[in-house]
Amino acid sequence: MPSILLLDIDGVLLLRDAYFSERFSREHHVPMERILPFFHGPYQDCVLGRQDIKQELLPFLAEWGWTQGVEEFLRYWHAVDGAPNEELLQECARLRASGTCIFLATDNEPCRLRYILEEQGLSQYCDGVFASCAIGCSKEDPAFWTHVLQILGVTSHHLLFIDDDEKNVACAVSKGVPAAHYCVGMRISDLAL
Amino acid sequence: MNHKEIQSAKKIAIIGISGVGKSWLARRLAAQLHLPLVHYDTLCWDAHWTLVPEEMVAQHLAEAIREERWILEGYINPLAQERLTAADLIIYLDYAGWRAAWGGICRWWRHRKQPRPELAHGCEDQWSWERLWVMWTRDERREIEGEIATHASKVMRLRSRKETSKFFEDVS
Repeated sequence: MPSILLLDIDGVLLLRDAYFSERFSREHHVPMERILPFFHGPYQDCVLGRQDIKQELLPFLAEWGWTQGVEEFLRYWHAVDGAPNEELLQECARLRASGTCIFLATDNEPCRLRYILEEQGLSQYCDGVFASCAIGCSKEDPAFWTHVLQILGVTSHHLLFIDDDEKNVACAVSKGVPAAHYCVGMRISDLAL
Repeated sequence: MNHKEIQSAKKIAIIGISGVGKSWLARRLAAQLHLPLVHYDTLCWDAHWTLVPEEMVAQHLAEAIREERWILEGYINPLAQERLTAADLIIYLDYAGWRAAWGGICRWWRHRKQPRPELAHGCEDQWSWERLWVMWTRDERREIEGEIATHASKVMRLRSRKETSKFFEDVS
């Protein structure tokens, strides 16, 4: 088992059956073509920490017919978007108890990241977080991995990065970080072989 | 030092006797504050516990210290004294001997077959009664106290795991 694990959040430690945009579209009868401009546009800047999601959401909420305010929208979003992968979290707890360092590596904006760490409790399973909103680049950018290696002060062979997105896995590998593609039901010990 | 000053520190030295968890804290703090981490042990030890020549360690240390942002963790000795001068903040894990010894035992158990991440291959932890005694009696403490005496204004002394956890929560 590598000494340091870097784990993706969405799709690995938190599982969901659909993207939030799809769920919102279905539950509130808003066509995807009116939702996606936000997620493909301003939301990407929020994920990179360049814009505040509350400000960016305001014009879109009006267009989507949401009348309960931005705070309530974020509460709804955070509550429905992803349930803890209990099996994997238990494995994380066991690995940490036996000395493995666990860091989260995620592309997320600050509000949801705070919710995930504090309300969903993922902070108790990790030693730290590498987040796109703090670093200023996403996991499919080689600069993200340069930053991670510099911060951890170790050579890459001590690491294993696990993510459900093959683009992120490929980018990590291109920077020499051992990485594995996660599919639901897998265990970390299977991927670390 | 208040928390704002701590959070704005760009050069942090983490020191303490063996077994107190300097590397553990350094990793967490580096990720939290986005400061590049340098382990003194990485500079000192090559594969299979081969000592790196002192002049080479000094050169690598000087290069690391010249950077504008860093966390440097590890035991201090006269060779590494300049990192204390260069640091904005010195975090001193000054734990009880039993805590250090217990930390040493746990570390040996975890890394007896696999080296710590900061060490090269072949550097698995080896059991040593002598080492354990040094931790238990805090034998290295006198030297550390002597080294930090002239830097008292920037030393943050943490006396227990509880104090360290509280410190980490405060800067997070």
